[in-house]
Amino acid sequence: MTDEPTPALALECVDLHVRYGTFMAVDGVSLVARPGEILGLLGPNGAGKTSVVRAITTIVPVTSGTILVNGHDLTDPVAIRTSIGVLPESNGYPGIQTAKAHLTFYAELFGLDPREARRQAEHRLRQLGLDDKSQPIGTFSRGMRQRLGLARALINRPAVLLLDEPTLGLDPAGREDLLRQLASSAVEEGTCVILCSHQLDEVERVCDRVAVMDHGRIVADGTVDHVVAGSGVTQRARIRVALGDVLAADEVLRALPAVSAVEYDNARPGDIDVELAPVDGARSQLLKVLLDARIEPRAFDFQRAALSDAFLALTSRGRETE
Amino acid sequence: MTTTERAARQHQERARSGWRVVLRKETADLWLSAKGLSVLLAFSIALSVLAYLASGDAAINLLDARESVGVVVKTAIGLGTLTAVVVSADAISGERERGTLEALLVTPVARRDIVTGKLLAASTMWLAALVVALPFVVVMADGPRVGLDAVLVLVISGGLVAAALTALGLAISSFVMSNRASLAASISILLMLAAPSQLPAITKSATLGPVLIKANPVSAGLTLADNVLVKQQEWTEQWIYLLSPILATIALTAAAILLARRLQLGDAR
Amino acid sequence: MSRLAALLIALLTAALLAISGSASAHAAGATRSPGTRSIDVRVDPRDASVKLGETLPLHVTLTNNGAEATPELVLHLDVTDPTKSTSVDPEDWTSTLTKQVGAIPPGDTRVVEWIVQPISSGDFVAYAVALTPRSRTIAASNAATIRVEHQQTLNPHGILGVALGVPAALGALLLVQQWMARRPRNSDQR
Repeated sequence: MTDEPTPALALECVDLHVRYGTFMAVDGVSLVARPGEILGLLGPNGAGKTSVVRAITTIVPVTSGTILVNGHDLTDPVAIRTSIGVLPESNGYPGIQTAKAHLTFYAELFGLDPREARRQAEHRLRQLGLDDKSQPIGTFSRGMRQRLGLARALINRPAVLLLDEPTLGLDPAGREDLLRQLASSAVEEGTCVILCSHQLDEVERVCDRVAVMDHGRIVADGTVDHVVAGSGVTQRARIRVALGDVLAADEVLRALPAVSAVEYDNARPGDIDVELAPVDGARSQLLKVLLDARIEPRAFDFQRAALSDAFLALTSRGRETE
Repeated sequence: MTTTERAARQHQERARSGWRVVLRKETADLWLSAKGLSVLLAFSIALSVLAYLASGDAAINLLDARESVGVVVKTAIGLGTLTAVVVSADAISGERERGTLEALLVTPVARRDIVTGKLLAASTMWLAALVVALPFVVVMADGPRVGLDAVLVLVISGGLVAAALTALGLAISSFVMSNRASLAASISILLMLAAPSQLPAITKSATLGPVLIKANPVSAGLTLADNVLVKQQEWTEQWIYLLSPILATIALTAAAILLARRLQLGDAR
Repeated sequence: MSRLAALLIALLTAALLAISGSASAHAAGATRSPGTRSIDVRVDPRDASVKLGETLPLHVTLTNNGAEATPELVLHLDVTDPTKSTSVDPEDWTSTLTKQVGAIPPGDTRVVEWIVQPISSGDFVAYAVALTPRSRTIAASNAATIRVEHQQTLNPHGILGVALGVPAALGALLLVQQWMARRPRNSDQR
């Protein structure tokens, strides 16, 4: 919406604290996100994700710390709110309004004149595939409402888009549709997207980076691989080599620092099970040492640690189940 | 002008016009949905029954003609205020319960603009009630020839009472988390404030009775209606009964707008 | 002895005469004051019939038939229903029940008017009494009978049009609005 030069960071939170009475909901969170980046904000229920989002959107007071949204700090909440688009988790809609009237109203709240607001509303409805829906919102399906919510969040061409559980309750096709829209918005409009979700598979798929929260703190932050690697969960590989190469393979594999265990399946001679620490590039390291030792794998099945494994390991829920 | 200055000016302009956008939307929601007309229909039916009975009583001299006009004007003020309070008490707490408040709060519009827009939209309910009440009052006041007085009482006294209580309903709606609690509290306060004027024997016998009647904006407004329409007192003697409605309107409107700063979503933690 | 007997007979005769004179004076007390004063009170019309909600003028005529002027008089109207034990509140019929008449010279007449408006149907009796504020003298009128016929007022003070018209108009508006809301929005679908 604004024609100011785009800052290098779309969002920067430093040592953010949010306290509700005696409860510290956000306890020293620091986050950065760049334009065009999709950042997944993960954490179990009560971890503080929604509080972080609401602090960024200026609707809950920050106890301490700084927030910069598109270059604006908390001393100018109106400028922050002008720069953001939000799809809240508890998102209601006026049942009697049409989608177009609803979006036009929000566009006007962002300062657009009525004609421009209508144009922008039509554009977003077309973009989200809702332009042929003239019935009241009360008759919309859950998927249509979520798409409308995304259209509303995009109505001001925000620098930072904050989405709290946007795919909650959607069927697989609806989820795919919404995630596609999200990714295209980030790429085409350079929008920084903060995605709070419990759907770890979709986060893993669309997010450039993830930040995992637990008890109001960031416990891991980085690319999905980096977070998985840092979580300490193991990865597994099953390699099949010729029977004559088993001993040589055993030797080179055990020499790798990332390998924590090498086991054999007696029922299938030549199959080697390898357990690895979650380091970046483990798969290629395995292949490299085998090929360097002139051992040609006949089969290679690598099971990378999933984000869900890392999430469970990093958060309290994981610790409780251990 | 630098880009930052231009952006700041844009923000200020948005802040200035935000209440208009909210007012337009809220008014449309109220009157294009069944809500506004349904409440108004209920109001008109109640007023019709009462006006018919009062006219019937006046026709057989069971009720003085002026008194019957007074009864209808006071009922129009009371019920008209109630219709506006029902709308204003739902304005914020209703959005909170329906989950639509957060999306509104994250827009650049200032919270006081949201509250101002909603307050004015709720006031259209009173204006509509006033328009509906006018024909009743004009027809009934034709006999005793108090039409102008009746209309003036309805507009001035009723307008002030309705404005004060509408602002009160909105203020309560801002900080009461449950919509039901907001409606119950607002309507209870209206009834409590209206009660003293309906208990003249008690309030007038106590030493402080007349003072309390004047200090309470609702009873003051209703007493003014009695004084002018039934007791045929002069308007110039009534300024004391307008004091508390005027002060209450100013104070409660200011309170509603100031409370807007502390507007909370309510479900944080 | 015969003298004593004659004296006793004379005394008894005088006492009897005195007693009979006093009794005849008391017997005339309802309409005539002691001595020569006499007030006649009459309510007109003697029989009247009105419909509920209508007004009825009652004329009370006071005539001084005595040789002296009356003292200051007050005239009071009362209404009752002799067929029922329940009381009638005459204040519902008229707000002023008592009227000052003043002194009436001998042979003179005063007419006082009441406009009454009955508030319920039935057969009633209206009468007036003239009294002096400081004495117990009362002169009562004849009883005028008033029949009040029940009348259904369908449109008191012309309110019916508004009382039916306003809610009907709003109801119609509501129906139109609901119909418009349910109507497919062709213009939006283009």
